[in-house]
Amino acid sequence: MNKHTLITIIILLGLCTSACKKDFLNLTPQGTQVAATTEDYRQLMNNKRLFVYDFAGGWQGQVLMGDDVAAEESRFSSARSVSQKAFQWADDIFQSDDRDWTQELYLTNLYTLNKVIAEIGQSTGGTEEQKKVVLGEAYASRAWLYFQFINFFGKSYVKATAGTDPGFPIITSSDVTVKTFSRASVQEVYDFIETDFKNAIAALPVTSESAVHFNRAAAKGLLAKVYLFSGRNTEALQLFNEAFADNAASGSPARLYDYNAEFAAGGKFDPVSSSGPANSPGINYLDVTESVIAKSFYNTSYAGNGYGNDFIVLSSKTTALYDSADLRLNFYAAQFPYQEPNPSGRLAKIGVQYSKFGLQISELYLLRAECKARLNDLGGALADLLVLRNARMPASAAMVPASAAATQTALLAFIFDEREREFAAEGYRWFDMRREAADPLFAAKTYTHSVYGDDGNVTTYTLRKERLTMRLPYFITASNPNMPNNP
Amino acid sequence: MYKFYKDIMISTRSCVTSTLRLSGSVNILMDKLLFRRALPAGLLCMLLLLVSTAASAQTVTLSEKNARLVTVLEKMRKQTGYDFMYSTSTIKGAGPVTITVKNAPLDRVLTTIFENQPLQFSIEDRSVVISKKSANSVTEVITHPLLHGVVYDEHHSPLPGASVRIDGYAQIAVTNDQGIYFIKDPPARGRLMVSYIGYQTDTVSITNRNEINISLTLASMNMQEVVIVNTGYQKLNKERATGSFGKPDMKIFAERAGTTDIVSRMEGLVAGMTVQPGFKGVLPNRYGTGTNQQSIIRGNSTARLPTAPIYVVNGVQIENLSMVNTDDIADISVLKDASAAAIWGARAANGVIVITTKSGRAGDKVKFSYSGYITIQGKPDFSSSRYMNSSEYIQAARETFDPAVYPWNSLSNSVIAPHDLILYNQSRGLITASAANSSLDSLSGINNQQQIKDLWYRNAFTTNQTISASGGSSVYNFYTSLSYLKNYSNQLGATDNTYRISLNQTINPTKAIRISLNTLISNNVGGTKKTISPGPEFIPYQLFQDASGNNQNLNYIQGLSPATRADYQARSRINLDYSPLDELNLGYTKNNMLSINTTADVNIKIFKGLSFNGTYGYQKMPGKSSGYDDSGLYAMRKELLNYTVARSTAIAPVYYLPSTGGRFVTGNSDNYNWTVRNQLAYTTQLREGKDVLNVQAGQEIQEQYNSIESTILRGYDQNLRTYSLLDYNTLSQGVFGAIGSFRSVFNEQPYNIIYERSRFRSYFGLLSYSIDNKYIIDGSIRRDYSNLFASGSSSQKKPAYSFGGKWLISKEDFMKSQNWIDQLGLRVTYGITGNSPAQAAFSQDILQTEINSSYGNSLFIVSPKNDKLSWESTHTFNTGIDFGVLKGRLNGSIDFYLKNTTDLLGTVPANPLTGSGSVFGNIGNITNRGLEMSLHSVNIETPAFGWSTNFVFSYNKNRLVSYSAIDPTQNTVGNRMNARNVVGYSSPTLFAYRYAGLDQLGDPQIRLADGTVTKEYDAAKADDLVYMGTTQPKFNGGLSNTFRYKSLSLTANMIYNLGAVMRRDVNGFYTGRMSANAGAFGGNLNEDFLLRWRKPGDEAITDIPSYVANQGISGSRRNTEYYTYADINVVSASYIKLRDITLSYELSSGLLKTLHIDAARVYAQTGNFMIWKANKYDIDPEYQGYVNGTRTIPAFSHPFTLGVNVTF
Repeated sequence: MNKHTLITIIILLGLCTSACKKDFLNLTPQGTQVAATTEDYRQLMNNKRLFVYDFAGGWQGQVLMGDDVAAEESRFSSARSVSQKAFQWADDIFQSDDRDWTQELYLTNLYTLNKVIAEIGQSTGGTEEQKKVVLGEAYASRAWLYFQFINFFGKSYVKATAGTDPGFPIITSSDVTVKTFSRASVQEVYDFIETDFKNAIAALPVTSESAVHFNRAAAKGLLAKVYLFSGRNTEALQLFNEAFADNAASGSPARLYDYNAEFAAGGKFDPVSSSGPANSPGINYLDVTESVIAKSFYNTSYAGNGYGNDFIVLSSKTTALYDSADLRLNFYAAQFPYQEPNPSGRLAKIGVQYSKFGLQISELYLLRAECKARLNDLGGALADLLVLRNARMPASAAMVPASAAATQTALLAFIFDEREREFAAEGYRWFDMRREAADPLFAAKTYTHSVYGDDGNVTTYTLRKERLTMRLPYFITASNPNMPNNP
Repeated sequence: MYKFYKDIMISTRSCVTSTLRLSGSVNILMDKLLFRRALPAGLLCMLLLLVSTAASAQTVTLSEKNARLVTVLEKMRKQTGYDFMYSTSTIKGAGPVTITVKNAPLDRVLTTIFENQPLQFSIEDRSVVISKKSANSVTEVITHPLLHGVVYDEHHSPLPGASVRIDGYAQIAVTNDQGIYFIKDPPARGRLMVSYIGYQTDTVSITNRNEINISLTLASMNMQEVVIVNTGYQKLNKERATGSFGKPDMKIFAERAGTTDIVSRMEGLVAGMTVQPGFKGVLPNRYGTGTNQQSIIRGNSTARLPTAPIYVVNGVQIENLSMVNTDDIADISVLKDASAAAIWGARAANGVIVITTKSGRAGDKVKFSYSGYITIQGKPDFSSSRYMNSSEYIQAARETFDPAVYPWNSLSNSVIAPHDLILYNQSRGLITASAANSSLDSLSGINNQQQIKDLWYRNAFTTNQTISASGGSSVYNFYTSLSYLKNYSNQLGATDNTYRISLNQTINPTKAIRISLNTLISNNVGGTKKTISPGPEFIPYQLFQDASGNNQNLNYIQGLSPATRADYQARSRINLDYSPLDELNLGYTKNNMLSINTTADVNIKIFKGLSFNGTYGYQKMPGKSSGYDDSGLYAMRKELLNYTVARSTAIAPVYYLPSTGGRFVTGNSDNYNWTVRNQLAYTTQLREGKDVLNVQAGQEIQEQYNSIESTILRGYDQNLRTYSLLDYNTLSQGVFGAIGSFRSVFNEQPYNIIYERSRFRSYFGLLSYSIDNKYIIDGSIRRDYSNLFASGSSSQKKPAYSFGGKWLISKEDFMKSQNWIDQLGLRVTYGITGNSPAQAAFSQDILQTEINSSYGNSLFIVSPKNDKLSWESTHTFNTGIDFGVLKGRLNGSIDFYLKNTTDLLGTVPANPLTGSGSVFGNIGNITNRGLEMSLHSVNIETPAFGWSTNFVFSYNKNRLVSYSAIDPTQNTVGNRMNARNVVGYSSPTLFAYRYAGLDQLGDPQIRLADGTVTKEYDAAKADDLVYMGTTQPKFNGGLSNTFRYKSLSLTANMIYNLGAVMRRDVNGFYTGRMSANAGAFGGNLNEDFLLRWRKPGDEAITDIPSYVANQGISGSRRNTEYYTYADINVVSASYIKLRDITLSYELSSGLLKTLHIDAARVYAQTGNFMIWKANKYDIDPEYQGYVNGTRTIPAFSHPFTLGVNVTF
């Protein structure tokens, strides 16, 4: 081989490598994905974690904290420590090695929502209309999250003190490197929620992709609920009415199941067996018939995370609230999880895996009824109540007793009882207890929890008023030692 | 012929004449030799004087007439004890023997006997080898020449005691007092090697000569054999290298048959390299294409990125180290400091291990060799565990039984073991106390350990057989090997076989061109069956077979109470019996992985010192796997149950998944990597040859691709190859009212694919300049670009670079007078290597797709962005001395290094309000400092006996200097207890509670920093914990001693790891029901549970907390981790082990000649003997979880190896 051949080979080799040069590194690393297009952001908002808390989270703790439940000692003593503490209204539920799934999942969702809100405008490939839908949904979702935070950790809204009562930090950026946060006041958080919902209402369409995505009715209905919780009853009523109208106009409006029909032979919930009524929404988070905005949380026995409700039965007070003809009783039986009979005869929820806590059409009726009652429109309130009660029991039992309809306070109390009947053992009650306790229209109450022993002994726990506001969990205080905790 | 010549030449008891007379042909030759050459008169005299002395003390008495030769030989064997070696065909033509002698010397008798036979004999050691005489003596002279000569020293005086041997042959001659040597039967084209301590070994071609005189030169002029270190980019003379290189003793490496893992075999042989021993150190390669033992070079300098070095085979980085056969490895260099490793750029911060495989040698005839061994590991040794026996276990169960806290009717979905059932039956009044007691007593008497060993484990062994051939000419040479590795593990039904082929060829078409082609092909075929591995952690009385050998049903293990199981079974009509032994053959996994690695290396000398070097590597690793789970498996039946709806026994059950066939999973993986590297090198001499300049520059491009796809079929019939189509949409929305589950959601993806492609482009340069052959300076620079991080942004790395210098002190004139110093050199280097923060883009949130058939597909965030990340950079300063003294008796090197890593990458706690508990970020700065020493000494070296020692010592200490961002959670106990890095402490850290004993309830108490004693949960802050030390050994290394006596050698390799701490295994069960996890073979408790607090006052005698049945009470009253994570339960993890001990025997070639074998070696090895350990709890630190304190049962205690190496 002569020198010329050699040099030719070298030049060829050199050319070969430099020829690859231009686009060689211009290759997206495959196997990972970053958000770029509007569709990417829409898919981020389609993330199941935003609407189903399917292994832990949601109101699991609140279910145990409502006075609508009591406990069977045989199950209570073997329950996890956090579940026992929640039921006992202990000051601190979480120790250093416990996970507060609820807040962890909420905060992770908050990160996603802040990212979507900040970045959707710069996304590519979508129309302005498409971006608006995603943005509106993110705003509404963030407002809903903050309504959770403020009701967990802020005192019940009282106008006089809301400006100084400590609330929850307002976080609007998705940045893991931020080190310090401080708690905004209850008033600031309510203002923040109001702004987000207003932004959402301006952006959202009447009909959303599906009931797990916010539409305008859902945003309006929830903002109205926020107004009602903060005493802005007139504004609330206006929005409730609009929410009903928007719901009716929606492509797939939320509607009440008529239990009279569904439990009748051949109806959807027929038959009722030891595993609950057939095909009930409680076993299927995809059944969104009654949801204006469908959000669900896992609400059954302990399965490795969260609290579990294995030891829970209805309190005697709550059981007494039901008329024997009330078809909602079909969802309760003297049974433990796994269809085991409870010899004590006390009722527990059956056939429920998920409870809904977004905005149910039944709650929308109850909220508007309450709003009307507070505005002294007792007749209007009764009409809304009747719509719901007629769907839940035979007409013969549906009428509101005259004594309850007679005064504003009596009617308000009846509406709260109705809320308890509708949502027993689903966590709603704890939020209502907060409101009752701060509301001069309600008589002062002492809340207790009973643990029933097999031997007939009853252990009673009494709620300290401070525990209507939860203390910040360990994992948050540990990272924020200078953040004042609730007393 | 080792002994033969030694006897003639050295021993005064030898008789040269008589010995030489043994063979007529030799005798003639000797006559010629003696008279033709003018030998010194003294020698001649001595030879003659020795005639009368008997060569052998052995005498024979015979009286035979026309006896068969065989008979006569047998008699002589009996009388002398000598072995007579011959083949039947050799003595076929032997005539009858007639002889009468009395007490005659053996050799004389033999001479007489063989005088008239067509046979000749030779005596060596205690053997007589008989072979055929050649047709005539003249031919004999030509084919069996006696090579001889004189070896002179540097003053041309004869040198006695020098070793003379022929390269590749075992025979060694030693020069006599006159410096003379003789070698019988030298190969005409062999090479004669002459060596003597303190002198440079000389090699001379024989080329048909009978006489070769050699003058040796003193080694101090160029003492050592040239040791070559290989960076993968260039080969360097170790003496001239400025960087810090480690090289394992390849002889020990080759002999360590106890493991086939390349990294494990290097344990204790390279200073600064810490092999993570035991099962904990075995990790899969990046693409899961095999596993290998992990190692750390010079301490942790990264927190979260992989700490393993990169592996380079024949110049190209590879991922799958397990494809290389240990028998094919010729050389290993470990690159430790920046100067050595910086040329590998961004990925070299953890060090580089460069492996070169064997190649053929020009000029050799084709040589074959075989090496094979079998290592027997046996069964796991359960005796090292600390679990209860059956009676202790039953006693504990009686004591903890609490039907009030755990009522019978709350256990419908729990594991109720037989003893528990008896206790509940008693408490429910179903059986009497005495019936319960007698049942429990009979359980107490059963021990299942032996049955478990018999039924679930088999004797493990590993065997590797390699046959290789090498040879070549000046234009072409090759090395090729074929090997078979069988790994027969202790798991029932498991197979693991590897077949490997390697072919390394070098072609030199012209003087200016050299082309090397290296190909390695490895095929791993393996599989498993549905076995389980129960051990002493399983309920100790539970048998798997009854007395008559029938397989037992262990239904309760699956966590359904008898009533629940009966109900489920009745409604679903699915049998829910569970017999583990019956499941063995109901499923399998199989895998078949092929690895092909080819490297071409082209070297062209262009002109005058300029040369081109191209390295082109291609690796491809296609793999296939399949797995089948029959519907008869319990797990499959249980899954079907959860997709079966049957509200009552009256209704026919509806199955939503196929109830026949099985689940069939197939997987295909494909990986390929390629590398193209072109470099130009220029070498020139300056200042009339006093200085040498060497410059290299090059470019490299690389691509790595890997993909894995998998498919899952349901209802698969293996014979018909049919399967069921599922309604994935319906199933993913959930089946309501299924038995044992309210709603079962089926999210299985029938098809899945993952792929990743990454590309790199790099530029590099190397420069070295040597002045007066005494001062050497060099440097390197490399810059990498990759598609993994955005180009042009700040995320691109600054270049990796290094520079260094070496001063060869012993070459200075003023050192010339120091005769005792052979060699002395001083090295200093400094450089920067880095680690990229990104396996993926870190400046953006990384999303993942989720398939959802009800609401459409979605994305979620798997890792949040941290755009404040920067590169991890490691600055390494290294200085070292290399020395050789006392004429080669002692040589070694000592290195000191300082590694300063800035912007250490790792997991930092985030404020949870950000939505993330922790984030990948820059932790801070960590320093590693260390000292390394390698010593090799020849303690005794005589022809008959030798003793040499290798000592390797490494010391490493690291300290986290600063934290980039302190998060308050770092001050929590939970964080500190699990933290790997804490400012001011050596990593990985181990903290513990300061124990303060039990209180009067048997609750553990701790002492806080301010002295308060408390048992309150969460009472402690991070500062209340005590730093116990680090889980990384500070000192480690090895000590090897080799003793040789004649052909026998004994090598003992010790390894030591000192200065680490670990938690010990303590009982962790203090509350809850004594039960087991469903489906797992657990349930037994640590025997410490027996020593727990039971009654007030016990706190004076025990530290072990009390048992409290109610979890709520226990959890609110106390924290039992105050005990389990207490300082009293942290012990030293220091230990010294005899890793392996090898006895080998080199068969002498004379014996082998009759078998046409050039050299043969047999060896036996065993190992894993604990020599010393610092803990008194009988913990083998190699099988202990240092942080969590779990003790694992070793798969075997002492492996035993038998091996043989043969060259022919």
